[in-house]
Amino acid sequence: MTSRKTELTRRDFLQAISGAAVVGAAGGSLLGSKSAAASPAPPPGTSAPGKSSVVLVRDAAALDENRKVNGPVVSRMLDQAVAALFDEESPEKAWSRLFGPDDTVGIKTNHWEFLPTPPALEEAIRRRVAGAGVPAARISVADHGIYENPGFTGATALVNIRPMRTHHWSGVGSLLKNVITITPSPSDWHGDSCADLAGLWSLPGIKGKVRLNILVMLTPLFHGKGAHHYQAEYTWPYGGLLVGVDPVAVDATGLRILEAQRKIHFGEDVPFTIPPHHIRMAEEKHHLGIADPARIRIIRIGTMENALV
Amino acid sequence: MTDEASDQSAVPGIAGFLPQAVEGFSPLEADRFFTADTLFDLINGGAEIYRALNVRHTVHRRYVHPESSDIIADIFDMGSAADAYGAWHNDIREGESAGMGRESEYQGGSLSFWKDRYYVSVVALYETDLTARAVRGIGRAVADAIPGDAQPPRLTRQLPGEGLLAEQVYFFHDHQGLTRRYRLGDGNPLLLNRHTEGLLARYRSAASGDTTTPPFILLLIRYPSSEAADLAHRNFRASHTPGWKEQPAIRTAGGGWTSSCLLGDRVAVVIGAADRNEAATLIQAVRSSTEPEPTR
Repeated sequence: MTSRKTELTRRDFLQAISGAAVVGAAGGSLLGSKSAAASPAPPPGTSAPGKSSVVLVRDAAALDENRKVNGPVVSRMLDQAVAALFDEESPEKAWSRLFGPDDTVGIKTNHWEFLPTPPALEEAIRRRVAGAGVPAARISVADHGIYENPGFTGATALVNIRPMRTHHWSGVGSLLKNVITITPSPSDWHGDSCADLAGLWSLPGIKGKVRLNILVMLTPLFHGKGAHHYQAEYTWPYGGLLVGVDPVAVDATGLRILEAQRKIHFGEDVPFTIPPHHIRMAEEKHHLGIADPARIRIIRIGTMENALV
Repeated sequence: MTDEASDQSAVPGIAGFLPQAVEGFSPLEADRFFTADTLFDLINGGAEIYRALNVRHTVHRRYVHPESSDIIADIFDMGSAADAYGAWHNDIREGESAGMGRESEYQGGSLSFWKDRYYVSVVALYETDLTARAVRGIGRAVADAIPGDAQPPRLTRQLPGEGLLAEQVYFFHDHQGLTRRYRLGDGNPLLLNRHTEGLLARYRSAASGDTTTPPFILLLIRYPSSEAADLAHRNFRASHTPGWKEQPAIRTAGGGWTSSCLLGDRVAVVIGAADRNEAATLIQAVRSSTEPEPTR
């Protein structure tokens, strides 16, 4: 019974990310291409062939006046986003389509101390994965060193979550980049402003395993300066999350928001100091997903004032 | 005593520059220390910049307050005033001076300055009146605790003042450091290495009469010897401006005007000037400001 449930969940998942253009989005081998190519039409609220869907959920109550994260609010936002992405009425059903009792799940987070993934979101994911039947002992949350972390090396499924920000080497710290700690030598991927980061998604520890990508847009960093490339001045209370299956589409949408905020702040189009072209390259060279905004469907939840996309 | 032993004994010293408590903020936990080899663990993505400037040690402390967002303070021991200058000038410095150290800036909740061989960064995760006072208080305490007050690199005195965009002066050693700011073609035409010291300065073009015209560049590089400088200058001309005779400036493939000269153990290069006269005038100004080097 258990294994039947899991298989069904995976089949549903394949449907959710169907369309050749998103074949690589969940990381190649899960879809293997055969399965994806043969998959039936996607359910509403997810993806259409040749397109990717991204949920943008925003809530003014996600942050208080000191920009402290409201845990219950952001947990609710995540549930809303996942339910909408898979066109389910309840978040429980949506999460159950992603994970099952046979899974071992690694939650790849980001612990950059200036702008970390809020612990409340990590906990919310852990709770929902457990609620889908995954034993607590087989759920891991980590950032660094996942290439030697048994919770990740033995994972059957991954959740990828991080805040978006500008970055010294890659232009922006993206979901595509967040999995770089799967390799013990991240600097191997730094060439040409990290243009080929999408290649990480073909590595054995990642390929075919990432089932959900969450870009935290609560207080994004749109410009960097100083030793740590962080100044509070260059963050703003956007109060959002971007959620999708296709990491390229989610990153591309987040990048548009950063670009728009830079234009507002600087009064003109100021190019990123380091070009974030790895997102475009992920589509054009690596065929991992969709970066073209014209082929990204944004599902909007909550306030859209100053949404910038 | 070896240099390394001396460096190790200096580690607790830099932590001692940090105050224990300011405006109700106190350390969250024990200080963290980093060397050049471990700096990647502290700085996500940017450690290479400081490694290229010979960083030796870094102390990192997080301050917390029960009713405020946190403040993070770092002191980088760069080993020399020149490299501390370089670390601070790695960014465009357009914010207000904080009035501490040799040069400082306070902008958007972040304070940075350099003094003697140290580059100091104090950053509030979110700016409020309280964190602004605390950031400045921590910085002031550190600046007061650093005993020395060495001068900027001597090369900076040779930068002509007219047209100089003072907030955009960068210090580097090797070709990679230069390339971070300006790509001077393939290879390493100026024969830069870890023993050379260079400045990249940007100048507003007076010739164009248009403030939207991109600034042009002066490179000023000091070599370990006059012979090394001469070799580099000849290599630059051969590789970057073939066909150069004795004219004061030459138009290069990029469309701007280039000029260069050898000044003892230094080489000056102007790139991207709007016309021949502008390039030649700046080179002449560098010649005029060149002071005799003390015997080394």
